[in-house]
Amino acid sequence: MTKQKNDIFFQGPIPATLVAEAISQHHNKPKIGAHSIFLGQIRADQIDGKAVKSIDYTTNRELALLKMAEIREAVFDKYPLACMHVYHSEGEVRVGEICFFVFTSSAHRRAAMDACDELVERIKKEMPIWGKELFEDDTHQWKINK
Amino acid sequence: MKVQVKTFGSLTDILAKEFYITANDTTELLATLTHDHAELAQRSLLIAVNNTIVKTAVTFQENDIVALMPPYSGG
Repeated sequence: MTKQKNDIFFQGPIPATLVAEAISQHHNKPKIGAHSIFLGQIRADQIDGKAVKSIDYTTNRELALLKMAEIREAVFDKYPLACMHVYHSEGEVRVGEICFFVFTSSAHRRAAMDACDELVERIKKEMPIWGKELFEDDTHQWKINK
Repeated sequence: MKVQVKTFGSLTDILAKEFYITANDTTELLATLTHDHAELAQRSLLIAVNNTIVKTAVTFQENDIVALMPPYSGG
């Protein structure tokens, strides 16, 4: 069982190469039969006729990492996972770029898929992260999660 | 008690990101801040004292670190 112990925060957009590397790092783990991946991408929401150009993410880093450790333990306890990796952007991420990457692996697909889904929901709801939506005209509004 | 306050998200449009203030407990802290910044009254806030979320009023110790946080919006 491998657990990503380091910081989950990635400065700026999460590159596609990081996702590819995460997949390739599991080739030598023959007990894994399924991976589930969630990728969050910045959407060009239209608000009052203005388009979002990017989201600037800030965090309460210390509290977030404590909370992430708690969520990670709970999800590992609940599902028979082989691996779990989570990355979330800090700083500015533009429309079309990736800001959130959750990757779970297990022997059979159900555990990986359910754990991935639960991680995405819990992280969005419980992690002290804030998104500031920046518009083309340099105004902003604070993102509200639905 | 002198405590260090850290603010996050939309609160940084109203308050400084970090400042020191004197208050005996969370209730007094919020009352003082709301007195000076009336727009805080309508805000939904989460409070953490020394990285522990507190749901009820908490008495401060000297140099406590108090995080004032609006609803989360990660992902």
